Amino acid sequence: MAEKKLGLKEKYQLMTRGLDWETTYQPMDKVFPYDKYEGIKIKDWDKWEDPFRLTMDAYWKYQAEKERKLYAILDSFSQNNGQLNISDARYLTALKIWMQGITPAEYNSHRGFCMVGRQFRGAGARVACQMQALDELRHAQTQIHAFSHYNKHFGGFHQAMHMRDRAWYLSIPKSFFEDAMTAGPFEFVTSISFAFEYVLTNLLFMPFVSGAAYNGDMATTTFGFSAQSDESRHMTLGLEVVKFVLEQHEDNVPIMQRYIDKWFWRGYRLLALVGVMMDYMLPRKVMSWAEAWGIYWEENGTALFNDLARYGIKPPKYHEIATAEKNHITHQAWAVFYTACPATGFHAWLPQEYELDWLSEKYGSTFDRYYRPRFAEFARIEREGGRFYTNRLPLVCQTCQVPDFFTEVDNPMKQSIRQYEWQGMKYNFCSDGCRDIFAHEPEKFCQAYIPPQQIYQGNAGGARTLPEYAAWLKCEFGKDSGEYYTSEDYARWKAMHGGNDTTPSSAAA
Amino acid sequence: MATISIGEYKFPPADRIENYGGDINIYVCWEHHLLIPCPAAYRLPPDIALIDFLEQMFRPDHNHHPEYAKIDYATLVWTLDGKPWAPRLDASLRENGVTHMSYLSFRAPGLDGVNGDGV
Repeated sequence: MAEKKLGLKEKYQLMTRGLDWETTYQPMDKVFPYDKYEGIKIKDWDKWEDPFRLTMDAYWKYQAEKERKLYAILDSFSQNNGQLNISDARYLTALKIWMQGITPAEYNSHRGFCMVGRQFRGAGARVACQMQALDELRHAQTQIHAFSHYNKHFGGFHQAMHMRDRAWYLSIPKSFFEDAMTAGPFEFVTSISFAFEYVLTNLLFMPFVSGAAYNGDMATTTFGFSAQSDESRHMTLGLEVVKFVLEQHEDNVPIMQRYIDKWFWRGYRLLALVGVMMDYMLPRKVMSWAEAWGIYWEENGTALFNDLARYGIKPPKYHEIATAEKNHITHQAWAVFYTACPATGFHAWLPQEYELDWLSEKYGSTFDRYYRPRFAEFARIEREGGRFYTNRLPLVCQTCQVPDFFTEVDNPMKQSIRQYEWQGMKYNFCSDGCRDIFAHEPEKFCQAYIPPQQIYQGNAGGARTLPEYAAWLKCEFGKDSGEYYTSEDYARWKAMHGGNDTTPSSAAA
Repeated sequence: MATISIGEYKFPPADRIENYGGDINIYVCWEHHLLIPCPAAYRLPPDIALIDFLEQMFRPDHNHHPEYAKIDYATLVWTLDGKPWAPRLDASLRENGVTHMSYLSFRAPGLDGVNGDGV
């Protein structure tokens, strides 16, 4: 007689809860010492519902199938010189920042989920974290493989892991993940799974992968498809975490609200890097940052927080500031990248005429009034044979670590600076949101590794000037950094196209 | 509030003044001139006169700006750490009340950027 086959649900039950037990040689609180100190109260871990009910054997099967497809396409991309099909070599700045900033963050996310997978005493949560830990490791690896082909032809891809610990703009994602990893397990999952993966991930993934597709980058587009089903699993986990914790005890509500407030704001500040990619680095445009914010936060986010209202959760603090800033931050960020690019691992440039017009159209209320004149002045300097680079380190926010290019919501001509004094020392911030986060945990954020301060203290290989600092990043001016239109990348791109400048003249794909 | 932790949680600030070898770190912003998009950071001795700082350190970073040459230092309207501030140009930063991690900003009346557009 054939053996009875287990149903999916039954199998999931046996392979997760069935493998768990109450310890007797040691008390459970000693075996799992980290899942109570944050003050989150869990009455019944069995109420954890994993919506996917994926078992490890099924997980390996699905992922192996996706890997086979992905690597077949990456091989073909490489053999057919796929780099020739991208819209313009300027597009690569988006990939370089991803490779330097986000890929290491995926790896840190892997480390974080390994830790919390060990720290939760509930078996369902542990299994979900285990799978996400593997996903994140896989994403870091497949991204490196997808981008590695470009490393054969272009600058800036060669030292991502070295730069990640040293570059000023990469301390933004680095500090985000290290803040999460050094928090308790519930704060970690709320920060990464909920605030980042559930609330904000569409703003990260959608523009990036669509941007790759619009700009002819088959390698990255295929990576995006291969990661898509993982991302939807991560999003579902994020929502499940929050609902589970909120349903367990009413005392959890204020703690979770604070986590949501903090991580929404940190996530939003991190996304400035994505916004500037959409508006300035993609030669073929997908949609503007302001449009994406409208759809993915103002519409979808509002619906989500309407749903969560029944648990007593309010929309994240300062979300209205984030919305008010949507017509400004990308233009401000690109001015920083344009003026500071010699101290990075990417190239920057002035937008082409068609791009200035596209920006005017998308940002009718702000671009022509506040930002086009600034680009016009940079252009005047270029016409007269110069190229304006800043030679001074900027003020960097103590919390989000973004150089403080932000301006007051009611006055786009005035820099937004906040100060907080703690134990006799002053700290400077870009916003009320970042100051509040610091004020809640000054013992933690006073330790932040703020790049300009570290350089001035002599901790950047002794560098005191920006060229010395760039050398310490292992970035060479003209090869990996500085103006695009005088770079080796641009020269090589032209050579690949018979000596012609193939810069697009329209935003349409 | 304090950081919730599993044990004693006490660490020295990464940017404490002892790490600056007698110098201080300050930030300076020329308001309404966003060609340089961020306030700039300086490491300097607290005994430098404000005028010497402006001429020897701040000017070289801003000289490319068409309006910098028109600045009259005597008329600048200052704030220090967000509060109105009337420094003496020939006095040192220390004598003027500037401390480690201070934020200084000024406006030059009549100068509002190229074409008055804040650039």
